[in-house]
Amino acid sequence: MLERRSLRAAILRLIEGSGSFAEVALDVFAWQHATNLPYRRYCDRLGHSPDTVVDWREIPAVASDVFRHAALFCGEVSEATHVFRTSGTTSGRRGEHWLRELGVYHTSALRQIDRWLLPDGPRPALMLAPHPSEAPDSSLSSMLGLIGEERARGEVTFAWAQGRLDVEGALAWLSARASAGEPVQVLGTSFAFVHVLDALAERGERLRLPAGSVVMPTGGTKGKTREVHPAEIEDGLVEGLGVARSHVVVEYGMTELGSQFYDPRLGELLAGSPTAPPAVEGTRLIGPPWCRVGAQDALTGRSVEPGEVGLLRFFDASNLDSVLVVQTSDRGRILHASEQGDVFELIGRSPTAPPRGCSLTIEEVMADGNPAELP
Amino acid sequence: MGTLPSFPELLEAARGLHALTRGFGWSERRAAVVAWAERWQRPEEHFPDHLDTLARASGLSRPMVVWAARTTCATLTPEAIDAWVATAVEGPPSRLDGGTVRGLPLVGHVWASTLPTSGWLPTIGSLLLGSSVVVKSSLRTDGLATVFASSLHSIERRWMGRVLATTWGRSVGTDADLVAGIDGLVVSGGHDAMAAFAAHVASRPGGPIPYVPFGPGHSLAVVPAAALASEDPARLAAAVALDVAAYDQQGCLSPRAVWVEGTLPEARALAARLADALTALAVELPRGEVSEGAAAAIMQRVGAAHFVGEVFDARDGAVMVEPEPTGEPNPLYRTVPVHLYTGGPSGLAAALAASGQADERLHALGVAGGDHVRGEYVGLAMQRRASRVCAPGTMQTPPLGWHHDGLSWLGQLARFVDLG
Repeated sequence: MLERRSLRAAILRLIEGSGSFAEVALDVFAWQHATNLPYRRYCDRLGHSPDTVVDWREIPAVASDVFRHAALFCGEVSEATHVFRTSGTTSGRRGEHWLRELGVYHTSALRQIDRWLLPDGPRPALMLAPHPSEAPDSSLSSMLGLIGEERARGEVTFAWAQGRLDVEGALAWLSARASAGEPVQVLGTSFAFVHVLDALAERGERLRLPAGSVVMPTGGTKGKTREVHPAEIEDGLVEGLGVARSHVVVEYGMTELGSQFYDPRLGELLAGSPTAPPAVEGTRLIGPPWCRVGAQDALTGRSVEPGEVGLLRFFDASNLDSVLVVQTSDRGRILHASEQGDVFELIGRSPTAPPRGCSLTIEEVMADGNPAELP
Repeated sequence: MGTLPSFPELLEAARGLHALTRGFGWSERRAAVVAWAERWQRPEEHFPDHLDTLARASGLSRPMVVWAARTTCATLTPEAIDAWVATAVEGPPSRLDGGTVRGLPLVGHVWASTLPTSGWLPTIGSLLLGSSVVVKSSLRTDGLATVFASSLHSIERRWMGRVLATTWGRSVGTDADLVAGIDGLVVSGGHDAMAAFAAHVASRPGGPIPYVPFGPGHSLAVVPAAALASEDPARLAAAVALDVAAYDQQGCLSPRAVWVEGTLPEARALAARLADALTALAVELPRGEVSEGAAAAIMQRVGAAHFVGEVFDARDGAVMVEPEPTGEPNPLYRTVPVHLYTGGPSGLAAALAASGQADERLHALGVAGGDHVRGEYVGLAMQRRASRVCAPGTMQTPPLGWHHDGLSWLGQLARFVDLG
């Protein structure tokens, strides 16, 4: 079995474009099986070990909810230097992703950013999210902090104050930049964009950011009080901020995963060629070469054929210190499997809800009703 | 060709039929109900098409629908009916023919539920009292009400105008129309449905009417130490499995968890047997349709259980040994955690409080170990507002006179005139 240092080097080589994902994945699995005690117990119960798993597709997956109940760390948690936490749930538990260091995470993140988010280079940034110092356990803030340091030419503003989005500050920044000629980047959660667009609409204003500006919404589009369709947000960004539709680059990431996934439209536009067929009903996303994406049948857990809808499963080699394979509840379909990065369609979160048993909600009983009929 | 009557006109007609009791008195109504219930003992013979409709509307498997119909109607024996109605009319049921007590003229029964038969008995209760009824269900479960009405019409033609079925329309005002045209209301459904109808009742023109809300909730299976020591393990597991599997765990009488007063090895042994029993039961009573969302929830819930305890897979289900509750919701569809407790009923009460589920409405405790053991848990049931303490294997088949939600509710649908 390879030591962590060797594995880390192999993963970094993979990120730089050399090496075999299949080999690295199996080596990472062997390391995780040996050092991640809860995961090892799980694998043993399933009867899987590095001796029996010969294909990376057979590596046992861990449901993303497990991060809320077990410390999935290779070694003692006390050896971890960072932890990213998920947002809260009805049970009150937050998922925790423990990391020994951020080097692999940052290297992989920048690789994807350079390829798909900022393929034509760094630019000043506005972040609609807290600074990493305000939210040290947020993986999104960590990534935005990284971009701010490495890909913003030293010009980064976090529109966040007193624990909440600073809408006024964001609008002031955007207005100032709209009159300048230099393209910018605006990154944040989808609902942060909704709030900014709402504020613009209330003022009856529309901005026109400089040509080449990029916006990156990420995360769910269901807020506390309303749900906004992703297409509606995209339209709002195009109309409200005056960015080109090609420069709206949706990002998809999870606390439980080291890698991020991007809408490839901008990268494809600048490269001059599409990587896969268009999405049918959701958002088209591309992963990195060090991560594979699968889709599973919700009921049987078996892989579905490319093009069929299933629950997305990620085989992420950058998850060195936790678990390589994470099973999500997000629906999607594989559009194009490639060594250069799997392209898939994210359709949305599986419509789970707190179980009610037999009771129908008023919305359900009223749904699509016809005028009352009597036999 | 005449025009079709309006909704209020049909309600008024149904109310008018209530007055025509001559020739359709108590004994005839009871006989018709018994005949109807007997036909539902052989539904494949008498109502094959209805079974398909009920399965489609409820999402349950056809064998499960047959089981539900049979067990529901098995309670409608003449003796049980007499006893039930006697409590409601505070005397012999024949009082209903004497003029001093009668059912309300027209009672609305709202079935905001997916269970195929959960609304049957309350509605039959109204019919036994001599009321006319209008049953309202959602478009999604439209078949539940129409099958019920149609099967009654096929037995007794005099019910044709007295048993109406309707579905929700697009207009919110329809509910107000319904409440305005009836004299009493029974609602089975979620909190929002109950609240919506409570508001309609409160603002009803002509004043409020008797309102019986049957709300959501869940139940628990309990295996005290005494039962572990005395009961046959396989039989106990089979009984709990039936409670879990029935209605695919969707009902308020379905156990969401099994609490064991014992050691971890004892809980593991019970869980293994319960998984085996669920697998065996799935042959006879297969699980129904599981939506993608429910399947995803099961995948996550069971996936997490592997890390906090132990999972025993079953055909069409899973049993998860989790010594302490995780606080995660149960995705249902025969997915059941097994938890440990100590200290008898008070210990279980403390464990439930610590689990964060203290506010959830509890309907029944299926307690193993005999009547004397069950008696010890009545106090806990009362404390948690549960209305049944029964043996495992019977949780889903309450007797006819069950005080649903702890209420003696049938009497609320009768109207009395006191002489003297």
